[in-house]
Amino acid sequence: MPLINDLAMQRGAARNAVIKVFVFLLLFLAVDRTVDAVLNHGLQLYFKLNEDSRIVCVGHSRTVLGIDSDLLQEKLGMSVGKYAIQGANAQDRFAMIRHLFAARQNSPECVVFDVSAYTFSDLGLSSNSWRLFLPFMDDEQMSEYIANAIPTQKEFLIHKYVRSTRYNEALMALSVRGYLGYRANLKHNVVDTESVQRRIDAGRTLKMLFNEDSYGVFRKTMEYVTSHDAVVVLAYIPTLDILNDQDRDEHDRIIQIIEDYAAQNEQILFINYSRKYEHNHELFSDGIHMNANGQRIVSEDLANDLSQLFESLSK
Amino acid sequence: MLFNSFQYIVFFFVITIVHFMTPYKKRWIPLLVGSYYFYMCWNPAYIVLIIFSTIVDYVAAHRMAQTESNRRRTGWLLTSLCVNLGLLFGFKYYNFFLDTVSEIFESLGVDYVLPHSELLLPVGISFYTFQTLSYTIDVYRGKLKPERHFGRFALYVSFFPQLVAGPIERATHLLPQFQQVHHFRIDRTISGLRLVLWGLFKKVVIADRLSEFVNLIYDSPEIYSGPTLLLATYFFAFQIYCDFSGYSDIAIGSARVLGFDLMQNFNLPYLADSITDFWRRWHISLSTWFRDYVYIPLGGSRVSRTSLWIRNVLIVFGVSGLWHGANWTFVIWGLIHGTLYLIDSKTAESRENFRASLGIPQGLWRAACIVVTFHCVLLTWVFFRASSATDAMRIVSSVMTNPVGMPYLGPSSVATALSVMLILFLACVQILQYRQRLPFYKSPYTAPIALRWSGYVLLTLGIAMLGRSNNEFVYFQF
Repeated sequence: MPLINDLAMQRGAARNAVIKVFVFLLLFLAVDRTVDAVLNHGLQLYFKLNEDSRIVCVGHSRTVLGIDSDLLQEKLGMSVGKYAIQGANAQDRFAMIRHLFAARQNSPECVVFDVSAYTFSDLGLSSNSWRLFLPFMDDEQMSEYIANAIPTQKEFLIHKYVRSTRYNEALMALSVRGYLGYRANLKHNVVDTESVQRRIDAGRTLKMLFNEDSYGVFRKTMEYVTSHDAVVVLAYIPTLDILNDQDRDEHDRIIQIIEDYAAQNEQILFINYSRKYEHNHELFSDGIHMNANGQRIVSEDLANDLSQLFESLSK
Repeated sequence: MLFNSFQYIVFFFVITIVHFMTPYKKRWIPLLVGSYYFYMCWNPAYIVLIIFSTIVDYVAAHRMAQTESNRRRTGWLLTSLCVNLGLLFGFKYYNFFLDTVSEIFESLGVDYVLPHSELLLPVGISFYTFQTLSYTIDVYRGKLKPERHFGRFALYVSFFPQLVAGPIERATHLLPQFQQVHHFRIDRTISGLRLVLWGLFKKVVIADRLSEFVNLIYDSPEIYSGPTLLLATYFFAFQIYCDFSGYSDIAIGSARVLGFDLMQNFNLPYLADSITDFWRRWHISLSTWFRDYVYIPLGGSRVSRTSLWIRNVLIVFGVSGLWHGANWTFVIWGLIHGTLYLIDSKTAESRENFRASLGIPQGLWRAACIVVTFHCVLLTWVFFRASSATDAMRIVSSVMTNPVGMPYLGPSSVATALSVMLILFLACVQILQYRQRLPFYKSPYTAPIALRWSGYVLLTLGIAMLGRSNNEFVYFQF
């Protein structure tokens, strides 16, 4: 056969090529494992997954930018973790809660869970947000969640065996932050309200929707946490009044649903910070996220409320 | 089937093995079957178009060679031109033509709506049409003898590495290669795979990443500030380059593994020091096609009057713009390039005199020329990417009149910062290529082993970690 003859003619080169391929695979495998180990450890540090924090804040970008866990820790004098990542939807947050409880020897006593009038609408959040949790797919809970969410088995296997594919630039940045112990909100700008208004006019802002499925996932999440004897604080981190005024009636209706749900359960407490701060535009970096100053102010309020909560719990 | 898919890796592996295991004289069979399969993965029905074009051009070329009559030869050439350009018009330009006619009627106050075609645009139709046209024109001119072997000719039309997005090969270059004996060579395989790796990196790591920001901004340019639009336009310049040159590299690399040499399609275009130089470096296979089959037949620069030369240049660039897409934005893009080309050609001598009179060192002058040329090209990309001429004018106006302030960095500023770093990385690689330190297109590759291996691991890791998957190549739409 021509191919065999061609290879026989280049026996030395063929042998070298095979060795080179083998060495390359070994080298790549070593780098792949090292990258995974280093980045994963950084993420564990960033999310404080390797600590048994008494309080853990779980959420997406609004928690990332709205709650300063280091400030809470300092004010409350107890360990506070923050397992929050930009883009996590309702399903992701349920998976995060399960991962959180499974990863620890001692379950947290309190989970701070951010809510808003957009909590039951997954619009605007990525449909492939499960990718954010690929670094934790060695965890049984997460592996199961990702296996159900991932489109193809082939993709699942690639992420399972080529570990560096589990990371993207956002996760790498968080890992670096973990090593540096740097969780500060870097958004120091103040929201451009004219720009927000233009987006509203162009129909390019988030829509308040009450999705029954998302509400169901939310309830399951709450039930899971309370069944582990933890208290839930549903913190409504402020959203800008201009956005809320898009459909104030729907906004009030959704917030009332959350408030009513919390009122039915002794282990769940709802705190509305938006009512107090939604008109204070200086505290926002955009329509739904706090800037560094806003984060500090909301976190100080939250620290006071959590302090009172723990006092009442100890009685 | 996309080059940046797992399916292609499997396909290419199988076709390479089968190709080299087949006796030399029969090798066109697996390649042709593979090429047709490659195309049918996108839309099986449209393979009929390629086969039809192949038959028409095969017959036309043979008939041209058989007859002594110039009229008959011209008749067969016109048959080939009409069939190929007719298909191209029907599938690509028909709706554009109707829209234009409707607008003319509307401006005349006539309310007449013409039925639109619902046919899908066949992937790569502009590429294979131009490739087959070059064959029949070369046969007509007597530069090439018609290919007797129908299978090999069909393979020339449909050779999968360059079927859907070029390089647009000439029959004089590619057809003889199908008759040669190609041995499986390890050095060629390594050098081809190296090009594939670099092309993949450019495509999935740089181009697809940049496209996310560019699409976001260009989809609604009215809501973004001048600096944001400028940043998106810079990103687009590198997106289109990495996308298209990435495809070409994968095509050239794949063909090299199989034993074939395709022409180089890009030669560091953003290091061009004039618009003329840019067109010697950007999409070389297309620009030389237009030069040989449109510009020179029109008279080129050897015409009696300057106005005729200007006409020739503007026709070539206008048609080149239209080749890229059925939209006036592409025509404007081409005409701006044509105008810049004319200005560049007419002022080359006076610019050199100006430099000499001021005593500006050659290197410094060239660096300044590169920056100016790049920004002229950047301006034209606005028209290339914008959805409409109105949007393009809005973007240019916003950038010019409102250039101050911080740009919006997109949903993830980390991703945008990484995009900037990747562009800087690309720039470093290009400068090294320019200085012949990274001769990707030459073999054997002489860089130190530590640099090479770190590069391979880094690129592979980059694709694994930072790559975006399964985005179509921009040039597929052409």
